Amino acid sequence: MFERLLILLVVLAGTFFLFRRFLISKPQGVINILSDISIRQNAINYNLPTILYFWTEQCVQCFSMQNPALSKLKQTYSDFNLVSFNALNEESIVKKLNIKTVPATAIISSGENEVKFVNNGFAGEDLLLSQLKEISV
Amino acid sequence: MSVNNLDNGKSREEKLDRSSLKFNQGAIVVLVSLAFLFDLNWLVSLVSIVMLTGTFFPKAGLFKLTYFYIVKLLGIIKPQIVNESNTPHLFAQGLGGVVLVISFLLLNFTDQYFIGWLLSIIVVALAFINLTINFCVGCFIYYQLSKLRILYSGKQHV
Repeated sequence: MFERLLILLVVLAGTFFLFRRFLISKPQGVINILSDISIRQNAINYNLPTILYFWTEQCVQCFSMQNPALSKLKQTYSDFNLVSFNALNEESIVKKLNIKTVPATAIISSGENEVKFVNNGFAGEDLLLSQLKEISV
Repeated sequence: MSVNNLDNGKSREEKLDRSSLKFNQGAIVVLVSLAFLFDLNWLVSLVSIVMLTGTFFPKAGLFKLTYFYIVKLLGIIKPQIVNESNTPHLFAQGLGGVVLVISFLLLNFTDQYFIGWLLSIIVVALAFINLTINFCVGCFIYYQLSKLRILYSGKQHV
């Protein structure tokens, strides 16, 4: 039984860290995506970092968790652009950012407009805030 | 696409209690882990039956009933009601249930003991991931199939 308990703990811990690594990525190289978006939308303030938020209509976590987290973040830390997309309507951007699931968020720096973080799956207010602060330094 | 607002959906008619999903995942992790630790093959079959029943007859799911009539009534877990579809999670649960059925069949009717328990442990690990970091692998598969339009049913799904 002790052996089995050990196997179980190793598998659970391994899976946990593997998925954490898989879900939160720092893109390699420069990906500039705001220029694509600005063609259709000119409400973006380029002096601020931007959060791109990907959702779909049937995504439970998007409406129950990611929306409230982003709303709360916007209330407490308003210095960022929030651009939300229906992921199924934006295939080229989804492909470019290697979005694997919804909800997903991508953090884009101000100035150089580079994609700095891609969070596949739910990203809490604290994680998003720490990523925004990291790129603001 | 919208900027600086979260107007990203139409009004939802379905009600979903997220806490019931969490309870469901927790129950799967605990019960299948116990089955593995104490070599209880019958518990694997029991969990698979509960999961498949909950998939095809959501109101008759034992974990859901336990949550609504015991856990919620006793106030152990606070409900978190959202207006949203349960479909991707039912798909994920059904997938997990099928894997557990295969695991049970391997454990009881073949000598593939290792593969049998491996499948059960995979289900535990994925339920654990959903419980702890809110990433639903079954929903992810559902999303990918929707992108390929395999699960297309009049409107787009996750």
